[in-house]
Amino acid sequence: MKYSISNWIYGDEPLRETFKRLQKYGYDGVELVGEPQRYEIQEVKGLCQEFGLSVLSVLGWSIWPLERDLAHPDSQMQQKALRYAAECVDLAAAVGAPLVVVLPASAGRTSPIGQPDNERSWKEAVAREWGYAVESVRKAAAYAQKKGVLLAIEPINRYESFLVNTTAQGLRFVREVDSPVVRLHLDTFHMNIEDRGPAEAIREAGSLLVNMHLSDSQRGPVGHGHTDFLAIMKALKEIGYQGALTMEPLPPEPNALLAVRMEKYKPLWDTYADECITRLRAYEKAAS
Amino acid sequence: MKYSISNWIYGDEPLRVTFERLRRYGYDGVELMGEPSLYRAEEVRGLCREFGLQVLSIAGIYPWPTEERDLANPDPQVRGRAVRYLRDCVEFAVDVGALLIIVVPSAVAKTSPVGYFESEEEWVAAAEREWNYALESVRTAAAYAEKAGIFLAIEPINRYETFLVNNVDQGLRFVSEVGSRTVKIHLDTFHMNIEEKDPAEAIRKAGKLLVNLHIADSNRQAVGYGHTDFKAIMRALKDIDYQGALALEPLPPVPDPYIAARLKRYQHLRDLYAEECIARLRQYEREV
Repeated sequence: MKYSISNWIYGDEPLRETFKRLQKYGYDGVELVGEPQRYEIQEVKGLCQEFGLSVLSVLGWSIWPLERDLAHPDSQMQQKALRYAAECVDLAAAVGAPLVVVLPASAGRTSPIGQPDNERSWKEAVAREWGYAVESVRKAAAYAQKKGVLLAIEPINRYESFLVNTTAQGLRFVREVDSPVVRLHLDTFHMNIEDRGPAEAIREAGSLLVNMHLSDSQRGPVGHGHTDFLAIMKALKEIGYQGALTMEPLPPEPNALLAVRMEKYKPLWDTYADECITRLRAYEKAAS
Repeated sequence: MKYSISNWIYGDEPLRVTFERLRRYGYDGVELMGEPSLYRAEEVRGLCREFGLQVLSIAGIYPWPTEERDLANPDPQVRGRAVRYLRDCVEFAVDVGALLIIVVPSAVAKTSPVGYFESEEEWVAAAEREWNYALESVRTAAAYAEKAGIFLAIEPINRYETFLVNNVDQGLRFVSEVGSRTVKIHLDTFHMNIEEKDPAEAIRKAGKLLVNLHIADSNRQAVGYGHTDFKAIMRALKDIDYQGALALEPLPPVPDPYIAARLKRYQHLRDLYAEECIARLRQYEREV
C-alpha cells in the first residue's frame, strides 16, 4: 500500500515542513489541498525530488460558500465551479498526481439552494441539483481525460452535504456520469456515519475505488476510535486496491477547520503521523 | 429493560396513533417531545391508562438559531427564557408522571459560541464562558427540578450539532461541575458512534449516573440497519445495572432528521421500524 497525508490538516504550514514530516515517518507521498494559487509547480517538484515523495492526489476544496459548487442551479456558478475543477486538474497534471478528489456539491451545504420548505419541492430540488452535478462532472471529466487525470467522487456525511452521502449514492452518481476517468473516493470517517458496513462499502466500490481518506471514527488518528481497520484492510486487499491510503487525523476539537489552525495541537502532528502509518502497516501485515 | 420511543420522530402524528403503535409492538412507554403547549396533560394521562403505557421521559427541544432555549447563551435574557422553558418542562413532566427531562446544555445545531472571533484563542475563551453560563443555567433549573422530584439528564451530542458537550467525558465533567443530585446523564448510540472511542465503555463510565438512553443505529436508522454493536451495548447496560428506558429514535434514510420525521413517503416505515427495533433489542437482551 502507498501511504500519504492530506496537507489541509496542517493549516498553512510551509510545504517543506510537511514533506520533512512525511519522509521522517516513511510516507510515500502527499495529497495537496486544491488551492492551485498556493503552490509553485517547480517548488513542489523540487521538494518531491529532495524528499523522495510523490503527489498522489489533489483534494478538490469545494467548501461552501466558496464559488466552487458543481451542483449549483445558477449557470454562472456552475461555470466558476468548472473553472476551479479545471485548475485542480491542471495542478494535478503539472505535479504528476494521478487524480483529483471531487465533491459533487460543496461541503457545508446541507440543503438545496432556495431551501424548499415542503416535501415535494425539496425532492424536486434535490433531483435537479443531482442532475446539474452529473452534468458538471461530465464536463470536468472531458477536460480531465485530455490531461490524463482521474476524478474521484467523494461521498460525505449528512451534516456536510445533502446530495451524496453513502457509498451506494456515490456509485450511482459515478455510473450516471459514465466517463472512464470518473471514479470513487471513500473516507472511513464519513463511512462510519453513513454506510451499513464500511468494509462492505469498499467491496461494493471494487475497482472503481481509486483514493481513500483515513481517520478513526471520531476523526482522530488510527487507533483513537472504534473503526475496524483490519476489516477495512482486508476489504482493500480483496479488491486489489492500488490507490493511496491518505491520512486525515485531526485533533479532538469539534470544528475541523478550526482544529487544523490551533497552536496547542501542533505538537501532535508528528505523533499522529507516526501512529497512523505504524498501526496501518501492522493491519496491512495482519490482513495479508 | 423498559422500551419506549421518542415521539418527535413521528412529526405531528396524533398521540393516539403513536400510543396504538407502541402498544401493538409491546413497548412499555413513550418519550414525549418537550413541547408542553402541544399537549393536554389530562388527555396524555387518559391515553396512558387506555393503552397501559407510561410517559418515561421528556425530550427537551433546543432549536437554533432562535433566542428561546439556549442555556449557554451569553445574553442573560436568553438564558432566563431557556431556564423558564426547562421549568415548564418540569411541570409538564410532573403532570404526566415522567421521571426526567433530557437537557442539551447549548442549543442544538449551534456549532460555535455566539459572536465573531479574530483568533482560535478567542474562540476557545468564548466556548469556556458559555460552558460556565450553561452550568449556571442548569444549576438554577436543577433547584426547581429537585423540588419537583424530576431528573435533568445532560445529553452529549455530536460535533455537527454542538460545540459544547460532545462526548461522555465532557458530559460527566459537566454533571460533576453542576453538582446537583438531580442532574444525571443521558447517552445516544448514534452520537456515541461518532464521538466515543468505545460506546460500550462510555456507558460503563457513565455508570450509575446514566438515566436515559436514545437508540438508533450508526446511520440513525432502525437497529440492524447500521454497524453499531448493540450486543456490546446491552452487556454494558447489564454491567451497570441500568434501570432507565431504551428510548428508540429510528429515522428513515434522509440526511436531515427533522425533515425525515415529517416526510410522508416514509411514514409506512414507522410500524416496521418500531417492530424491528424492539424485536432485535430483546434478542440481544436475552443473549447477554
